[in-house]
Amino acid sequence: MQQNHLLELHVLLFISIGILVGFISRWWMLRGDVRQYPTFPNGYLIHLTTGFIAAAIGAVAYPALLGKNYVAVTFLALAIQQFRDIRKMEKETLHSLERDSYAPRGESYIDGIAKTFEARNYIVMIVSLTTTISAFMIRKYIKTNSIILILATVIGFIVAFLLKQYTKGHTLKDIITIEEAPLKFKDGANLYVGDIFVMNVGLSATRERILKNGIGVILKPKGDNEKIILNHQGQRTAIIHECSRLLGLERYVATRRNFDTGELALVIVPIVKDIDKLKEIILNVPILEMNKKRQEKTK
Amino acid sequence: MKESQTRSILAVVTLDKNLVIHSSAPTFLAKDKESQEKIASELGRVLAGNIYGLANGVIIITQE
Repeated sequence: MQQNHLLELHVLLFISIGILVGFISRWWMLRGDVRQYPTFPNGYLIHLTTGFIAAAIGAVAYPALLGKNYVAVTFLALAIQQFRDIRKMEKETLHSLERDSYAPRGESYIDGIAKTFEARNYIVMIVSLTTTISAFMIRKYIKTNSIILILATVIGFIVAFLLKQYTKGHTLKDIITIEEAPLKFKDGANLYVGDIFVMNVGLSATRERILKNGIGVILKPKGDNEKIILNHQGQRTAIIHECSRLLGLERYVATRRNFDTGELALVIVPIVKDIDKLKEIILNVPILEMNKKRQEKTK
Repeated sequence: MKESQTRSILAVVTLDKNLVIHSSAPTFLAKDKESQEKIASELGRVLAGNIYGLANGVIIITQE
């Protein structure tokens, strides 16, 4: 009897469409931003595969329940455990890379990235589940399979889109403006970006290198809440990491806050000296989720 | 990048020995600005430390 159930064409179709929609939405979310991790074939493959499995679990759940197979719910719980492991795996990978990079990502950033990956698998699961369920629901009114499939697909993608919008993080674009500022040395060794002291550099050869190749910018928060966000050490580490990872680091990168105004000075000696790119990178640094929560609470 | 971290002075390079009194760190006396920077640079590399210049002309090398 069980076999008979599986062989029914519409059930098979509905499950496949659920898997397909979930898988495609995972793919779509992967492409969200090329600057984000992962950008490499192996990372892509890992996440597409886990996405596919998540989609399969989500799609099968409802038909299994219809077939009075209540074990399916247990599978969902098992799946959640698996995705938790994915988050842990992601975290460990990133942690082990920390020592090798010149400017580390920082704990908060890693946590945020790992969480995002876990959440995306849940999104895929939810999308597949809703796609399949809606297919079965629609079948009560419309009997043509092709119309059901199209409608279910549309519903699935709408859910995917909504969830993506909901989980979409903000970037620094929303809270700061950037100004280019001249680098200069005062008292011999003290490096200033604009009028913010950044660091002390002892050797004149290094000073020349910084003056020649360095870029200085000042990040101006738009309000008091934004000041709090910008003051977070993890956030600053994330900014430094993104800048040095994408522009390359010849030597020296540092940030320093002006305590009176809350502005953040950043100096970097990059390999690719391109001020416009630097500005774009900084504006696209995500606001860490930890920080965002705090901001919303105070509002 | 780590702020509010205590570092200790590994070495001092000075032109005027009167500027450094009772130093617990090794102190090097250089004869001119050029040799002072050279000594500081070498020490900085060997000790893997950071090199800072004070306004009075003394250069110190601290832990990274």
